[in-house]
Amino acid sequence: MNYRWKNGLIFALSLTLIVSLVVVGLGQDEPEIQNPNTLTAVATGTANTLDPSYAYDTASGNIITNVYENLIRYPYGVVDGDEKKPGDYSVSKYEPMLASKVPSQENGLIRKTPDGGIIYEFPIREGVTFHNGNELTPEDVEYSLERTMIQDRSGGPSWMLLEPLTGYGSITSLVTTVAGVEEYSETTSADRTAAFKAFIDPAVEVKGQSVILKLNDPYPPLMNILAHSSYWSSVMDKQWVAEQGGWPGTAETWPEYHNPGGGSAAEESPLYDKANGTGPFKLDRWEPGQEAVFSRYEDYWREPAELESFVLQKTQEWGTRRLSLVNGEADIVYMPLQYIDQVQGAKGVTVQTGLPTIQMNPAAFFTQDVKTENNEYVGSGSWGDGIPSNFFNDVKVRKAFNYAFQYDAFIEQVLQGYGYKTNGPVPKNMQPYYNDELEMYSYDLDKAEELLKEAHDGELWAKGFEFTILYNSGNESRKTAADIFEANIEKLNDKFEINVRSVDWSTYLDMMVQEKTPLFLIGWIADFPDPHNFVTPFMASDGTFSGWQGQGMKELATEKYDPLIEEAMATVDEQERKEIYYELQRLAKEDAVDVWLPQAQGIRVMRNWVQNAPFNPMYSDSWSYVYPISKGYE
Amino acid sequence: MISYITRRMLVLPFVILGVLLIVFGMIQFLSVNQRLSTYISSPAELKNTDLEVLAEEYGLNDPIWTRFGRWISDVVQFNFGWSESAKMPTKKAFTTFFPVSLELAIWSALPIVLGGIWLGTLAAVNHNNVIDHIARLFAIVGWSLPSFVAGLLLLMVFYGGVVSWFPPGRLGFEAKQIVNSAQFVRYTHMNTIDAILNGNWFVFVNAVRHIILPAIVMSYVRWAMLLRIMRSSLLETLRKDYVQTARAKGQKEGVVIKKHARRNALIPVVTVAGIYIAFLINGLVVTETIFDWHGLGRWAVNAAQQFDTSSLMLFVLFNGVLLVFANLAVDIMYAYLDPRVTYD
Amino acid sequence: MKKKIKKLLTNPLSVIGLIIIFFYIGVAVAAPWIAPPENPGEPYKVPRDGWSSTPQPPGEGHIFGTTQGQYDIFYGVVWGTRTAFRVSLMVVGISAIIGVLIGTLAAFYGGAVDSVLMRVVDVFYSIPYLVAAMVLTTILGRSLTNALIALIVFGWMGYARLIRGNILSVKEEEYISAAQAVGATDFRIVFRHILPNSIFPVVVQASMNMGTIVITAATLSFLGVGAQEGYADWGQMISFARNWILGTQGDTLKFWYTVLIPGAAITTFCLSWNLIGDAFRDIMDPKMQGGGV
Repeated sequence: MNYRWKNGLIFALSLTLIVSLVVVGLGQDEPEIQNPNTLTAVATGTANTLDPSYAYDTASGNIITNVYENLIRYPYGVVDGDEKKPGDYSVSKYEPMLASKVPSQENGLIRKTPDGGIIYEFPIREGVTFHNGNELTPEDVEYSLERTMIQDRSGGPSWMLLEPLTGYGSITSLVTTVAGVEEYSETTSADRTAAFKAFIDPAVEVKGQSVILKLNDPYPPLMNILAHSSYWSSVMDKQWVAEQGGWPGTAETWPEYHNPGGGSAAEESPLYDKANGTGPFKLDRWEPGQEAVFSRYEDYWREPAELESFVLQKTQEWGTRRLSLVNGEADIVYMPLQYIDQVQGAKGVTVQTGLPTIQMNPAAFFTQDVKTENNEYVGSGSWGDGIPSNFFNDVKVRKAFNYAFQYDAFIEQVLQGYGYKTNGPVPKNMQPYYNDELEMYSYDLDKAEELLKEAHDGELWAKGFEFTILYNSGNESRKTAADIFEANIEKLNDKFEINVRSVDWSTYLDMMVQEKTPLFLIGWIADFPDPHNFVTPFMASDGTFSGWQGQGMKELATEKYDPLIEEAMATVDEQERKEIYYELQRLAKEDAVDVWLPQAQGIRVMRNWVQNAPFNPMYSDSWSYVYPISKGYE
Repeated sequence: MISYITRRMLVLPFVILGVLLIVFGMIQFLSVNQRLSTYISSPAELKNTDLEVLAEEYGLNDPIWTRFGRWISDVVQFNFGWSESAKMPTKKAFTTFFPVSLELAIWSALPIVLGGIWLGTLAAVNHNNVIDHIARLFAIVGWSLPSFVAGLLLLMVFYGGVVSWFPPGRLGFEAKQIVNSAQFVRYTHMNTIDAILNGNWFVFVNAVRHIILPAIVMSYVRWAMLLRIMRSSLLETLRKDYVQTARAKGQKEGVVIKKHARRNALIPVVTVAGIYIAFLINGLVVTETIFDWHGLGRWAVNAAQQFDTSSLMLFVLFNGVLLVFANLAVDIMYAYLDPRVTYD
Repeated sequence: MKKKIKKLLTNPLSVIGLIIIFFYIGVAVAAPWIAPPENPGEPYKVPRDGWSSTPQPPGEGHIFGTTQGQYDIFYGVVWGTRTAFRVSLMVVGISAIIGVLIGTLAAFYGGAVDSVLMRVVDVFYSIPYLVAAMVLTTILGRSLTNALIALIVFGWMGYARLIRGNILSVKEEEYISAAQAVGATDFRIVFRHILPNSIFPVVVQASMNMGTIVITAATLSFLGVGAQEGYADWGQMISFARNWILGTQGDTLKFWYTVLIPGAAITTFCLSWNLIGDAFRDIMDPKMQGGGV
């Protein structure tokens, strides 16, 4: 045969083969996956660890909260279809979980001690078993809380138990103070044992069928810190943990189990990839960064879950997640707010909007006394083609920026209408501590202009300035917020020049810590739903953000805010605290410490055959608590 | 030849060292705080964290040689540290992600090389014919479209619209249950091959359906490129004297092509094939992201974005070894294809 | 020489390629008039008409519509032409020069020089350029220039290997030995005989790369490396389409313009370079002078 023809024939045959493979592929259509007994959720986070004493990220939390339980929990509303069933969304009322009663002053389970301390007594429920069959005892509860406190890994959640129960933020500082030395490495094992016996032991004790927590000083958020969805307070099985190579629970051995892996190698913890809780689901399999598979625990102390299993998968691409949802393979997916148009009206898909959230994400932070040496974000470091170090020290400048933001436009256009203005830093949904009445700044370029003309004795207006706003890469709404500042400020005066730059987290951290970022945008999500968890990072002199906002801010904080923050923690009386937090909010506004950007409402997207998906603002996602969910049509 | 290979192998450790130094060096240009960000992944973790103490703890203030030496001694004991970006030990991350990428690479390599070479030959031989033009058109289209656009478009058509023939991810829900069950033996962790080895047709078909689109996206660009190179170099070779001579001698066209022209035209092709192994990772990155395959490419990108030093080092180490061997293979192929090339 | 130019101009495909290239050159030059910048000091900053996320279709005020975030596509494509030329010329030009230099040295001198240089090539190869680009841009700061540096620094090896491979073959050809026998100097041999005969796969490769580099830059934008968001760059424009490419539920093609228009720009740009590259191949082949088969 002619060479050319032969090749042509081979070509044609191959093409046919390829086409037929495709056709065969189609023929093998999988049956439509409804999986009526399994819930599939698709998210974007990677869980760090399964160890409740180690985890401090939402993704890990989502796994832990389904497998483990706490002493108490928040009530949850059920959000069905497009109607919200007005179940209680409260974050300050509690239901009993592993405790059989919620302590309160009324029932005498919260009481003052003669020496000024407070006691919380939690009677422990009987007849509860862990997934491995062991029975729950009060010793398990004592152990769990103590374990989290002694583990105290770097950058971990242990401070939330240590602070209320011992008064110290970290166990190493506790030990060094007790021993009277400078560094933890200088303490002896005798010191460490002694410190444990003096502080940790008495803080959590077992009496009969109850666990007693003894605080030396009032700590109002304690109940929040213990409630379910605060995964660091999960109850573990002491015997089982010891069998896995964990801390046996004695005063002498705790230093060996302290800070495993230095906080950066989660694998070092014995509970890194194992879970054994009392929760309605057992963890069958966990592939980090890929998926977690749960199955129903039949001997759960309440009614066993309706679902037989639950799968939590990870997919980073929104497009792919959306397709999975629309095809029915996924039941719930994570959807960034701005894509809501893409799923509205999709067949079989429900979108729930307007859900309350508890976060300040993002806010715009000013740095007073910004460092100008070697700093590319402040231009020349003086007026005209840069900014001087004290640029944001003048409150008029800060107020002007507050007037220069288009709050309504941001809500309408960026948040698609699903947002709200906030009077920060206390989140709107944290009643009764949020001051709804406080009159805040609004978009008013005239006022902004006036203030800028007066600022810095007119030097600012005359000479102009240039600096850079930073936001972290990949975050669309933060970039838009930065662009809004730029567009509006530059409008006021030709000599005003603002640049917007994206940097990755590592650079961001570096710059923030060196106080080189004149204006930066970043957010904060609640650890626990108490205003203390918000005023501290935003206003305390050693706050997570405020501590890096320059000398000027530190001085303001030390002088005006720190005392109030302390005062608010010295009482458990709601009314008293409310007054103080109102005052803090007023001060925040008056001193214009930051710009409180509009916040997004919560939004959930799921198939309409998902029933009883519980909701509480403390649940970070719809799949944070799967127990009540079932699949079917009403 | 043997001595040549031996010589090349002896140089291998130095090459690896060079690579590691470069990467390590680049990363050290970052400030201490920037490198600390690996351990502090969110503002919340700043609480109660003394940055200076942390830096001391991780030895970030030590001189570069100390740090490098420390890493080397770890590596020699096969301790690659913890991968912050993958949230698991680096070694485990590598062994988890490697089979995924390998499967993708295999399924896209065959079409690339065979298709590229074969179609290129076809086009050159049928110079300026219809077949030539079709092949060239195909190559040009393939060449001009960014792969992530092509990937998303393919997904849209074959998964989003009316049909769901080729879904994203590696396996469908049911197939995944089967694969993770106790009865299914994971020989290679590559779903297609394991399915065959386990004799499970359902899983095999499912795995194939999930791999078709990523393989196409991975391969079409390189396929197009290889086709063009093959075609152009073959065209050039066909005009060479020894080919004319062979023709003049009366040898059949097929023999001329196979025996003489093709061999020599393959030289630049072999070079290019070698280059493509080098750029394999780059192709994997995009493909794995769009189709949600958790392989080496995606791991590398996440590691780079988060400055996960330990992951980057292992990754580069792997790449280095792979490429040195690939290049060696390329050079040996030269010698094979062109007997005039000698190395001794 | 005249013959070569004539050949370039009569081949229909290369003519198409040239037309497209000249069109883009025209657009690039005329950018300040076709799409006047809001702020003359920052012409590469694509203007945003509003803050909403959802792209708007072509219509009033926006001939090509807007992308996610309301960036004007027309503006982005027009000024992106300048960016495309800058990117491709710089990266291809510089890396080709470096690569050819190194490859030639290695191939011609052989022995230890070859070994060392090829090992250097191996070293650079082991770092995939995407990963390197990301690491480098974080260190240097996210900007187009820094991304280009990364692409050049890690992209020259292909040319080196290619030319070395060809030279190794050509070296053995008779006319080289003939030239050596006649007493030609090394320099002369390299430039007059070796290079011309081994360079054109490099030229073909380079011309094809002119287009692909633009795609590479688009990939970098896709990964969040490369130009700052809102910079006039075709890759940026397309990466904005990433989450809209599947349209809405009722209308999968609703946001076609976010992909198609910048995509068409990239594709035609690439296409034209491919065609020209092909034409180069035809022209520079010395065996084809005086009529080809």
